[in-house]
Amino acid sequence: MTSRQRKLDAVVARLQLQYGPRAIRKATAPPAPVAHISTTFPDLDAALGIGGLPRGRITEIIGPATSGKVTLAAKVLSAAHREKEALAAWLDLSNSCDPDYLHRCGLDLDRLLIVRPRDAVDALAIARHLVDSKALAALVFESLPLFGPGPADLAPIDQGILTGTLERLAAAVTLTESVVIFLTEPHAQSKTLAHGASVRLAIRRERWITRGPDVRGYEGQVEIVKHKLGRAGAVTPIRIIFNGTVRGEGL
Amino acid sequence: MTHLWPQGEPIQVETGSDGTPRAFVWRGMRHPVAAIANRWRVQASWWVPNSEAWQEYLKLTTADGLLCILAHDLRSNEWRLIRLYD
Amino acid sequence: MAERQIAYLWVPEFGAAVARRADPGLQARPLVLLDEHGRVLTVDAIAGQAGVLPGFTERQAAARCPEAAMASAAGFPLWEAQERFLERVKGYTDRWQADGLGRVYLDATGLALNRQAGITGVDRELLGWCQAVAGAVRSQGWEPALGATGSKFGASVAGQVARQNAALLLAPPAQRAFLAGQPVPTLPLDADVLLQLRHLGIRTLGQFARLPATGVLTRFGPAGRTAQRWAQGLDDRPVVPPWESPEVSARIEFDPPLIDHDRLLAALTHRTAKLLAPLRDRLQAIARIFLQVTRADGRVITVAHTFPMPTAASEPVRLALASLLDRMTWNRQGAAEIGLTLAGITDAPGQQLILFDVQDNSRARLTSLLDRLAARYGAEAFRLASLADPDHLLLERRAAFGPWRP
Repeated sequence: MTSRQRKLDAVVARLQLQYGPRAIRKATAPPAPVAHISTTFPDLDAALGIGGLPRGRITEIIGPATSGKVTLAAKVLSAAHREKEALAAWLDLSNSCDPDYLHRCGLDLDRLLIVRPRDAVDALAIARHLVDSKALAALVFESLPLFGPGPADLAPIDQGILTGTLERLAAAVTLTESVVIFLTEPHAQSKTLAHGASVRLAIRRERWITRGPDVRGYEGQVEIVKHKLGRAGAVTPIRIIFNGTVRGEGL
Repeated sequence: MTHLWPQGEPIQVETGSDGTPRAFVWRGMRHPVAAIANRWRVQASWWVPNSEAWQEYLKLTTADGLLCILAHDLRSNEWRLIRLYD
Repeated sequence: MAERQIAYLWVPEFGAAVARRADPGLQARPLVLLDEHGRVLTVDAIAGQAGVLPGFTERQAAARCPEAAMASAAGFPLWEAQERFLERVKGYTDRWQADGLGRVYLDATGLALNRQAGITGVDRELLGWCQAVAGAVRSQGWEPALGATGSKFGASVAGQVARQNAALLLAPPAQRAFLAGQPVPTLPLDADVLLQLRHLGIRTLGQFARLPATGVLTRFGPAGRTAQRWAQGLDDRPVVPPWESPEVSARIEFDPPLIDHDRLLAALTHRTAKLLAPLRDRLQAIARIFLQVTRADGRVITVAHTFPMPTAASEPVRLALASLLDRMTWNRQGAAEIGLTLAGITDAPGQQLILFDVQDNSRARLTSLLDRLAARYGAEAFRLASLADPDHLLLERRAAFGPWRP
């Protein structure tokens, strides 16, 4: 701190002592803007403080099946696609990507690369290549271990390989303008991913939105569990409605 | 998004006396059915040999919070998980 | 000292209008005129709105505007029309500076003698002068637009906001407020920088102007900081007539004389890049390149290239250098020394650089990467989905997967 700064601080302190803390406050420079892609949920964008998910960083979205984590990721990609000719990729480890639903979420299928790797090791290696190319505005990695044992499951990935690859991927992402999203089931969280992600969101469904007996959507909550570029702890309600198109609304 | 399995995920379904699913087992986990949200039948491509599909779809919620669509092939009586919302 | 008053006069679609006067058959479709390298030189309003920008290849232009007619600019008297246009305006000021086809800066400083300002605060004498200049251009059959205020950047933006046959005159103190609402791409920044600003949510000059100066300098370099000052209404560039426009030079010696053209081009490109870097920082561009080549046999040959539009972009400069080397008579002699002069240093035109080039290349880059990855991971790993039958009754038959398309 310079002596000039110390003098200023002393003057401010004296004035506040004399006239109260609200009498004078130091102006702080507005936070520098952070490159981002909107989540398309205005309340969540506001809670994140930077207008959306940060570019050049990894975001992890944690939630069980039917929590809305995959829809949230899809809506982020639809926001990425608003930029003309922007490309996105979906690493579809479960071979269950639903193009019809993605289209209803607002994605341009012609600008969405769907990757179906043989195993998780290949998936991470491919993700690294895609990130390095700087050709993508956004990439979703869905997801490391999957729904449980079954024929479509992939073998759990060796932790050593996972750690090394994720660390290199996190470093590579910072050199790009890409948003990289990992989708994780709550029972399958990885400490390495938790450490490497700049933002972690936990999403859960609270109640169905029904019309008669039919379920037309659901309301849920998103908690900002970790946020290296803003404040963690905020809990934001969201609504997902699928009725022709898939709409997301903040409450 | 929904997860969509075009070939369908194999499941074992426990039905009530009226044929309505009460629970299903998928990948070793049992999911009790909470409510049937919607159901509809489709007969597709009946005019194309070997392409005919005669199927009932059930959109349902489970006690453990899933929203999914099961497909019931009305000719073979096979049940499959087609779609899982997320 | 008189307050600066600078006017920017321009004729929208000047190049296209000249071509259409020569060939009325070109009226029917959007029009793109190409330079000698097959790159877009100028476009009409419809092709421009479709996103065709100067510098695009013909293929890029056709992708943006498939219905456009592509014609070689060499087939039309563009430069003669430009000369006549400039002749008309020269009579109104000693200090004028062309800014591309049908565009010119005019220094009107010193005209503001009559201090009885109108409601707008703009000097009446300046207003009369602007009307006279515009009238002179109209007498040639053009419909000019004109902007005037206290800086070149402000005047050029005001001129572009003004419609055809209209003028926007701003009292210099009103300049900053006017600029605040204008979009960021009016600044002649690199496509990369414009994209980064867009990702940061910076859409207007006002938002850009309010960013911390040190942050702008750190992130975007001296060129970004210069642009920020312009956005703040602090552009103090003078109007520089052609006889005063500066140049920079360098000499490269080759011992032994170099005959390999690829290596000569590499050396020239490298040296030129060093000369261009400070110009880019000041958002300047060059109009001409001169090469004075001393061959191994002592013969000196001079060749020159004039750019259709001032540029500081590396690719057009590299192409120009390659073309100059090809034009020379070598007689199997190597080059012992090359004198390189970048002349006609002027302001970089706004929106000159290919805004969409970075994104345009994305698909090509991705396809090239996938071709390599397919060999290792299998081509079937990389798919593109389509809704083959979006209304199919069976949910699982609505979509189809196929290979990635370039």
